[in-house]
Amino acid sequence: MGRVIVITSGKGGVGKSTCVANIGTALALSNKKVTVVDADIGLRNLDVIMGLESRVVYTSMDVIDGSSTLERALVKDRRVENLKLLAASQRNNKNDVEPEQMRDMCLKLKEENDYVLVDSPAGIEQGFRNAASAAEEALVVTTPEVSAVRDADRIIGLLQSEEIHKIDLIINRINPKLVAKGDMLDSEDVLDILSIDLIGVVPEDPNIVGSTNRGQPLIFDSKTGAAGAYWRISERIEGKEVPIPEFKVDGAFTRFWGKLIGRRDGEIN
Amino acid sequence: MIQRLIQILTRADKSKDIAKSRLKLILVQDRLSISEEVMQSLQSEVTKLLSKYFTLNTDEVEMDLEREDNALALVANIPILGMKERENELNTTEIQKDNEPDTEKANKEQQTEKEVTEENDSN
Repeated sequence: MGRVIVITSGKGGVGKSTCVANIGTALALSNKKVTVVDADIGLRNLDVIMGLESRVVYTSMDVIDGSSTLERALVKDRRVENLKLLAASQRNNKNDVEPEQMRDMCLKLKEENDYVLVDSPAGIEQGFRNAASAAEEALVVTTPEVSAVRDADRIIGLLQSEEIHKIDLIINRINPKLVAKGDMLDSEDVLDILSIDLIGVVPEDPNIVGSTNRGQPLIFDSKTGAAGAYWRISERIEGKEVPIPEFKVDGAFTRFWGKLIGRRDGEIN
Repeated sequence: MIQRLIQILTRADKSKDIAKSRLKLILVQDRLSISEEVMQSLQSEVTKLLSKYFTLNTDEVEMDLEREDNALALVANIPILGMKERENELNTTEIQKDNEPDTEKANKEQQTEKEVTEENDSN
């Protein structure tokens, strides 16, 4: 029996799907059985971010209406053992699925996996309720911006009313330079406001764009920057005590030294 | 020019501080506007607590959040009909003090108390 974790944010565009792709891959790379589920019916994305779009034949909608078995609808990731994707239908919409149907599917997946990560659509409507229906835990993703934190607060309230009480926060796209200048909320500010447990801080990393372009989650190719942060989050999900590093802006010398040893800006080991 | 330099040096206008205080205020409102029940239960608990000390007109209790500039206030209007008689007498001095018309509130209290006594008389 595995764990069903919903990844959600309220606001769109904060990096939910990228988190799901990288954390799911990281868990699979540590020999866990993982299925990632795209619950964004009508606006599917996770297959593209993971680079599996060309291999999707059946979707969760086909499983629900009986035209495919659950097993057959799962797309196996060839780059890593034990990582599978259940894609969302692009032709239907969120109201075509009932929370109970989503729940049944996730509970079946739970039996055969160590982790089922459900990528929730943005918003607080039925799509969110579907995604949260089978989850016992949630990861709330936010960026250090007023609008994203506000929506995260709303989502936290809704998760609690869905009886999900293990809720951890991921602060995505922290820019150490802006934080140092006082032009960006730092993780302490965000935590102070949302008062839930922090499970990871992901620095803004230009390499994410390239990895999304290629359809290859960054974690396959890197252990630093954002990939390092995703890696540590996956370890914390597994219950390991991994400290959250402070992302500082390096001085001129450390920057020079960092370049020599191939370390990226803001990374502390 | 010099002012601008000082501004740059001291960074008194850190935008993150502005963001944080805006967020705090937004969330206080969001969190409260989400659930009417919370307001209802706050009202009933406050009334219950105050009823230990005062006889209240519970039908006309009003409680609401009001926003002024950059602060949020809980504004309550709780009509008091009179003091509750305490079993022990140690509070008599306190009650006398309360009745001193030194604040507007005490004045109002007295007034309502008077009205009540008058009502009682007529009964």
